[in-house]
Amino acid sequence: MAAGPNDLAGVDPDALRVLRRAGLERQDLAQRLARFEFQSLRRELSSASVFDLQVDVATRKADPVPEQAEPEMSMPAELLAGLPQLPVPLGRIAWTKRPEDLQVAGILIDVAGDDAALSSALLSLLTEHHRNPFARIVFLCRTLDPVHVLGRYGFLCHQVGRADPASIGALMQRRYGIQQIRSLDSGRKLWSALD
Amino acid sequence: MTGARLLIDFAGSDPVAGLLAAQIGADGTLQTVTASHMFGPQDTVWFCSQNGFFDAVDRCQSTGATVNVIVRRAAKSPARHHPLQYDLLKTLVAKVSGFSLRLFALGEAAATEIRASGLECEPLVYPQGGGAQTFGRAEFNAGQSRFRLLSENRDSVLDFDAINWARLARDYRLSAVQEDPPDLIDMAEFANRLPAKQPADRSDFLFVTPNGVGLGHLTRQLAIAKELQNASPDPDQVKIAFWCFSRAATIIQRAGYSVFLRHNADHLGADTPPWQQWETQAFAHHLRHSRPTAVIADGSRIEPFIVDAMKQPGCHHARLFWIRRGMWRADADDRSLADVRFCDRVLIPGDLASAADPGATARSNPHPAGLSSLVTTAPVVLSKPDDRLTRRAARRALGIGIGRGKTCLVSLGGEAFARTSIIHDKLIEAARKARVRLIWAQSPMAARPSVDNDNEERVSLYPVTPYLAAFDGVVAATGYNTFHELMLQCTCPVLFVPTTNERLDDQAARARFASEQGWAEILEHETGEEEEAKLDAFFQQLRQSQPVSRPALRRDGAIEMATEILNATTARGTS
Repeated sequence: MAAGPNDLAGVDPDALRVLRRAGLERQDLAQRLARFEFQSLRRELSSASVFDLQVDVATRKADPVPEQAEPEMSMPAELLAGLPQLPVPLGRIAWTKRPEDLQVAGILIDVAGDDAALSSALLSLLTEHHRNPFARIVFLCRTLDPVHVLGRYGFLCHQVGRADPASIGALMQRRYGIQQIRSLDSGRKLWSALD
Repeated sequence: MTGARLLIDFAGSDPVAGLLAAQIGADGTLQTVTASHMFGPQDTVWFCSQNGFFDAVDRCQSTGATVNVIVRRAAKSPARHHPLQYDLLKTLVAKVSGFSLRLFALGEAAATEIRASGLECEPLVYPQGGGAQTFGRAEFNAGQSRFRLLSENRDSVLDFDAINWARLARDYRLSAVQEDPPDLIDMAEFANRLPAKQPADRSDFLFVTPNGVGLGHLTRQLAIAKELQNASPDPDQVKIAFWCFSRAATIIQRAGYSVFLRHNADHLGADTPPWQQWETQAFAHHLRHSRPTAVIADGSRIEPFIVDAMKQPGCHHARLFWIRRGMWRADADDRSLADVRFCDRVLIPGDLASAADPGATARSNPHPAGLSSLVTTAPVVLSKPDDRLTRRAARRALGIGIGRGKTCLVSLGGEAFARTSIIHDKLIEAARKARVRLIWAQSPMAARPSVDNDNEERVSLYPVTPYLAAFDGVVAATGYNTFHELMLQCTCPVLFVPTTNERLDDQAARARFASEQGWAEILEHETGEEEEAKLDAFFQQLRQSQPVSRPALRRDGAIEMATEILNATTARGTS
């Protein structure tokens, strides 16, 4: 019988020890990197001006909360049905052995008020995510304002404009396997694949 | 099921599907047939061949749909009829029920042959068709499955499957000879008699922005978008949108343009094929619904999703422009230069250092040009001379103060962090000795520094060029935009520190050229030169406040590119 891929008979035990050690070191490094990234994110979100970009390029005014921000929102179900599911990254501030085992959740960024309120809400959520990764998160943003910050830490952001969470849930389920959408502001469940 | 739908079978990427969509003037209700589609009474379904229909006939039964089948003649030479297929079709026509079935042929000759076999069919050719202006002739080379494109100043080739034939037929008359397979002759007749195109009566531009390291692609596209707007008598009516993979999408929105925030496979951690499937379908859907007159991609290649989407039926309206910067590194992979064949125009933003360009784009392109022509413009920059603030206003805006001390801007770019840390201390020491105040430019998109150093002053704004008068000298990386904005818009001493870990852009060649011309000094970290001495000399030069002579350019590359795009999208018109 041919040796299977997991058949270790005949493998040099020293080589196995080195491999195991390399695996552990890699894991340790990944965890340390996640801690480093989280500290950086926490520092950024603690700044009052984190979303306040000094950009002066306006030639005219665009609606920051568009009616429809994703072409897929109007794509026929038959076309969507033929498309494969895409992965969702865990984000660089967290580490877990098998991120693919975590469910995928949508978080609607619906925090009213100033940037400080948004920073505070994000920091609270992402602190929990760092300590105990509970999901792979897709941030559903009304505006593009948080994208450059969250994107920098490997989080996925979709601009959903004015769309009702209920109307984007099915699309996000098709695309990413999202099971539910919750409000960043209240934590309330806004949509569930089971509903 | 809601609303009438137009469905076209696009299995096998048959070019007839693209021609058909152009012929029937398919609108936003057009969809390509998928295995998931259930047909209904409000649907009009087109099969581009009898084979496609044979595969789907069971799904048509009892649906009440209107089913149109284009009966095709033999696709191989010498010409063979399809007696068995015609017989099978006759049997089906007699037996099917529960939907309306009509048969069509691509041209008159095909209709005559098919009728002779006892099948009723109508030619699809547009009665008044053939009025389109043509630029040249596309001769079939059936043996090699490609066209030979001939015009006054062109003799090129284009693979049959490279582009949507409705794009080709917009400018070229397809030319078949008697020996060609009958189906090719029919396709040529069909393509040449598409409805005459009217000049575009609107301006609708779609930029595709890659996720670059810095803001180079985005900045260049903003400059061109602004000039497209300025060229219109009613700038607010010009529709400009960005299909944007950059996380700096918010800058585009603040400039006043619509943004579709996209994710590439790396953002998702996805394999390329599934990601590409989504991107292709989403892009094709957008093209069908919004019908931009131009797709304007900036980067080192044309992304395959753009090519694949534009091949789909109903996605032929836009002209494709490729903004492709030169100064590629000599060792850079040049295979993507073959992508010129997909484009209508390749627009090269001029480079002041082009005489020192060592890369593939400076040589003759070994790949066939296909449809495209190449245009080199003046350098493209976002900030204009009129945008410049006076020294007093700039310093006030930056909070620098109006004192008499010398101030130097340090802008080492997004990729320069590793090198920055190496020369950081040397820069600070040299500046201290020369009593020059350093101000570090930071992209507004970048993370705040991990260690706050009270001694380091930073500016974080975009764009920074209008504020250059605030400074007595600049230390900068040599990316395209920074280089040209500095060389064209400031007269203070500049020290270039080229980034050498760029995969494509040869920043070192650009910087060396500037140094040879006397426009700037250069600090090349890898050469092991005396960095301290170089920095000391630069800061001494800065203290002397002698203006440096640099090239003066009256031309504006952004205006030239906008003009090219407008001319190409309006001159011959799009259907």
